[in-house]
Amino acid sequence: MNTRLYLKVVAVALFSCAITTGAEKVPGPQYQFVQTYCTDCHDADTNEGELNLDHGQFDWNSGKTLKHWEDVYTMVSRGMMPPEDSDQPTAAERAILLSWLDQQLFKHNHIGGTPMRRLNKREYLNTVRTLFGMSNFELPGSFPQDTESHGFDTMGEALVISPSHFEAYAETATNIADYILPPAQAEQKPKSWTVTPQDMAISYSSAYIIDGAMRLASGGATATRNASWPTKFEAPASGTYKITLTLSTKNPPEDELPQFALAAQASERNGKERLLKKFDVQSGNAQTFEIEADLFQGENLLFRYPNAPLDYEQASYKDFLIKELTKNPKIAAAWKKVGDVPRGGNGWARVKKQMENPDLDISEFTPGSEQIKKVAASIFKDKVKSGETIVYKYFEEGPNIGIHQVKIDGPFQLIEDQNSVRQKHTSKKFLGKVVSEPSDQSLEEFLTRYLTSAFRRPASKPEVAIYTALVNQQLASGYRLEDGLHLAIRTSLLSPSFLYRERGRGELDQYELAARLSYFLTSNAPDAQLLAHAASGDLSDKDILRTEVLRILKNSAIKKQFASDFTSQWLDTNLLDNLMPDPALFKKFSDKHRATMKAEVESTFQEILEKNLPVTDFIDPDFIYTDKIIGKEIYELAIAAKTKSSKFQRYDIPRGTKNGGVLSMAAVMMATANGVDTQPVLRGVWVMENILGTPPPAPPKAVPALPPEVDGSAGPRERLAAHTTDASCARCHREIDPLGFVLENYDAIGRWRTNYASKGKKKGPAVDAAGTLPGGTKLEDVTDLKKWLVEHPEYFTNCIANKLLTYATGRPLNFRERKVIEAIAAKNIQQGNHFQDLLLDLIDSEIFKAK
Amino acid sequence: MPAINRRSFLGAAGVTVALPMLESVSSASPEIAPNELTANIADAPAKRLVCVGSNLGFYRKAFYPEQTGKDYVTPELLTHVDQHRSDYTVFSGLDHRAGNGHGNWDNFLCGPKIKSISLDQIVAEQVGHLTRIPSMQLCAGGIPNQQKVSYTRRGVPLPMTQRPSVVYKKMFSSKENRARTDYLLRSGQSSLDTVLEEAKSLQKTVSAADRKKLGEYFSSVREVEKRMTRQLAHLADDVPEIEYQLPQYDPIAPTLMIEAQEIMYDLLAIALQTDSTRVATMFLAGLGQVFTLDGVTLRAGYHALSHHGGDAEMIRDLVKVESEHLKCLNQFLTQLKTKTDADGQPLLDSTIVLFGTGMGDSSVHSNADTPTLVAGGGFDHGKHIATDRKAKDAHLLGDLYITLLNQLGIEADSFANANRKMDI
Repeated sequence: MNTRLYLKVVAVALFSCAITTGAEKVPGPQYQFVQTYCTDCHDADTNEGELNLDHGQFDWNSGKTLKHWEDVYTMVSRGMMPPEDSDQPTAAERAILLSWLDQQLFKHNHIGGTPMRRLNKREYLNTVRTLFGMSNFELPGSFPQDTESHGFDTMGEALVISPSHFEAYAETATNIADYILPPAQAEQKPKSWTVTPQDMAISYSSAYIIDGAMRLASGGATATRNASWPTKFEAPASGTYKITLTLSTKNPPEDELPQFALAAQASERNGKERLLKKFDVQSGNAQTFEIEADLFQGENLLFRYPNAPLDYEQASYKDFLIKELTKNPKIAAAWKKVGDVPRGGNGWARVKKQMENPDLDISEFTPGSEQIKKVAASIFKDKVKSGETIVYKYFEEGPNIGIHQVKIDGPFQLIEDQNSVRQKHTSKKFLGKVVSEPSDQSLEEFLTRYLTSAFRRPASKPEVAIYTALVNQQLASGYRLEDGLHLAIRTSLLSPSFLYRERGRGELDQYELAARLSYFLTSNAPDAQLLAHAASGDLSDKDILRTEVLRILKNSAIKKQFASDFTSQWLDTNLLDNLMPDPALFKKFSDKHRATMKAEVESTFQEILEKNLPVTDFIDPDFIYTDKIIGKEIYELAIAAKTKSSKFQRYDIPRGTKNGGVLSMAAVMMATANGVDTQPVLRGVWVMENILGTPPPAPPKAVPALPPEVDGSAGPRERLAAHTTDASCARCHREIDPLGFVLENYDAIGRWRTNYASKGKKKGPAVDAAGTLPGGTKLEDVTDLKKWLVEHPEYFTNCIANKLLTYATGRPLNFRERKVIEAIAAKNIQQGNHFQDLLLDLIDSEIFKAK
Repeated sequence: MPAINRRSFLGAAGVTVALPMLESVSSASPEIAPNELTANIADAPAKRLVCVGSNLGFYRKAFYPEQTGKDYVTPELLTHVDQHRSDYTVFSGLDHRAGNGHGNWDNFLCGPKIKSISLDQIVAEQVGHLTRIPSMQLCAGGIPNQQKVSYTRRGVPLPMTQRPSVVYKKMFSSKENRARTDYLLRSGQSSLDTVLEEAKSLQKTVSAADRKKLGEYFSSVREVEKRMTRQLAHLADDVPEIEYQLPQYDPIAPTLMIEAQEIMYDLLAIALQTDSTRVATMFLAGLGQVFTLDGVTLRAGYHALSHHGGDAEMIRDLVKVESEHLKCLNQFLTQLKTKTDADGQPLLDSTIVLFGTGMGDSSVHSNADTPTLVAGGGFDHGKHIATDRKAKDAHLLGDLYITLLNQLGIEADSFANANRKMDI
């Protein structure tokens, strides 16, 4: 309690200090600097960059003043101002201005400043899932996306609420309330459907009607290519149905009876198939089969012939073709004659016509002949196209199964499907006694308990009274208790106490601290133990806070989620989902490859965190996570190529190489390119922002992009030369571009290259990856950059610390806060630069704990 | 994602449109405050916009007349809508210069940058608040996973409804449904009263920055309150009494696509007539299904036919299927011609029907030169307007969209990569 009191006093002191400081004069020497070097452009008339420094005094309470002077500090300290073609101040002159600014900016910035923050989309979803125990709950498709700012989706300023948000919240709240307290359903009476072949679906070449029956002739797995289903039926309610099928078979194979498979599937055809029953179909007259089966609401039937000899989706299709062509060489001769056989029945008719041609020469197509094999291979080449054609032979001649009629009656007895069982369980668990044993007391208990978890802090008596009144008002108007609770739930989910966290200024209170910690690490509301600490008031205690962080991160699912949520935004790897690399770079790039690349980033983060490794292991670790394909194809790792297992795993690697660390990861290299070629400027900016922690100033408005390379003759350096000839571009680009060039050895998917690709067979021009650091240090290639960063750990340690706290606090950190972080980072480096220690120190900092 | 934003910011700097960058999402409500409504709707010749897009496009040689101007010989596909010849114009040679392949189909209403706000949503932002349903997104046939038609300003694709029963319910909810909606809206108002009170009580304890956030909250609640009141009013008075019988089943099976299309057009015509909405899109989602036309089951799926490879027989059957789309369109145009607006004028005269596709030639997955037809909306129709894609000053499809927007009273100088209005 003592510490809390003390901090409150400090906060008050800071606050009053902010009030008393008003307009202040710029002291003589600094004013002279400004007059000499700045006001030529930055005065009221020219107002270059909308910055006027031509005042004798400034109001430090104004946010605008702080921003302007901070810009001055950045530009002057990094040598970007005054412009190259103007008079340059001496180092001593610069120091006079900068040390004064340093003091002023520290003094006039205050720790804190996160505005009331609404839950973002991820947090909102996790929160309602936990609150109501609905682990499968999904948001409606129209739920608004969040706006990012400063690279993260947790920033208070950008998390606006618009009417669309509010409508989406209201819609979601009604969906949730409907789930917990479902509205009454109308009763379902049994009905009868008679499905004739005309009312069965044909998709691609999945089936065809011949002689009054829908014929199935292929056994492939894809339903849309091999199955048929009723077009005008879907189960109106979950229940038991009687299904009567009339089936026959034509020319069944001698060795095996055709099997008819009856399955059920959601009628939108987006869920899994559920096998209901298989029937052996005898040759001869059509047979009638009758079964009773349970169908769930919205399901339809599905008809298949799984053991059909033809399955054009499998490799065995080729042997099947050789057998069939050997048996009937006319097919081979005719197919060859037609040439490009069109898809479907039209194509088969074309082949058949040729087969009837008396001049057709089949002499070459003897059993076992090369000719048979050749035609079979050419038919096999485009399996789906030829399969969609040749299947018509079997529709016509068999082997096939004919479906003459299907009758469906029901539902005779309603059943509970999995969903309704789960729903009832969730609802019961959530509501407790409030509906089963209604009383004033149970209602109050329920609302107190529910509102406390919804608001992430104890619900006050007046709040509970307001919600009780809301329920009672419904009862008084003749509605049921369930309707009243429905309204209470809907209302609570629109309440600012649910939608927002953190309010006011100063230090976070205990419950707000619990929420900040929990949303930072889990993107979810605080759990019972965090809330218990908040209740006893000891959560901000250094030891307890640390113990709690480690307890939360012990849960491997949470750790993984934290790694993913944070790194994908910090390193921009969430962009991977929208990128499709050029097939010339990587043939058949799939979601699996994408997942491996992302998993590498996350696993690396997790390992460094869990083992408390040095922060510099993000830059140059002695391990790498990948799988055989990416390890071999992109990283050219001999050790991965030798592995038998295709599983994602950890490999030991030497330090100081082109592999390992965030500057060498495929996910990062892909995210900072466009899928086709690399753009050194993007990567340069990325390194400055996310690795060095010295983002370049915002680009000037209305600058056109450099023209794209058209003929491929100019290398990136030549194309970007314009950046260094124009003084206003050069100011920043002489820092940005050389850092981008250093990564040029990585192509658009992160594979190492020494030459650019060219269109012909000849090698493209050689990659020149030499560059410089902003301070002028020369770099040969990326390994030099990594080495320098490890030797100067303060840059990256500062950078990642800033990113973590920005993500956690939801505000861009100000000058003073960055100075505090510098001190934390310096201490961390002194004590071994361990990452977990750094994270704990950041969480224990006044920055993390301030609103 | 700072690095990437920077570049796209530079690229877009010259073409900023003076519209707010607020979140815009649900089909329920485009995001625009009344004071940002710039359209001059009252005096505009066109009041409504319907955009229909076919997944597999149209066989161009059967869609494009050989002659340009008014005296063209009707090509095969257009014979089915020839009775409305003076009420539409056919365009050849237009496209967005977008990428190729099924994945780029979405450029249809967006322009070359998919996820840009679609034509219909630009209109919905301006007129959506005037009707009970701001805009409708329909789909006939199953929805292939990838294709989307409508995008909001924030790049959110709007979900399409493929079940006529759902559209019907939304438009003309049953007594029971109406009672429940009424209950939800009325009780919802006490919800809003409660949270507003709570938010007001917070005002005393917040910082200046928080106050801005609370301001957002208040204005959102108040706007939603207004919308609820409007919905309640619509519930009480405006639910049209109609005699329209839906089938017992929802025609979502792919083979019932044509039937689904007919029903969706019927519902659309009713929606426009009753002023339930003024903006709608419909996706003709054909893919693998094998159609039975006039009692004859075709011998290849729609998708297989679209990959005709120049084969005459395949093209013949493909045109048969595409003819069904034109026949449905014909019925729709007839309905809009027969039904009248509040002034007793045919609906078609003030309704723009854009009929097109994001696919120019599905046989080779090319998205260039997309067949396009515009009917109604008060234009001087009856022509074939041909554009030579190779000409230096060739018009883009976006130029036509500018014309459509202007006809609807919406000032626009540019659409995506286009900035030259096109005369009809």
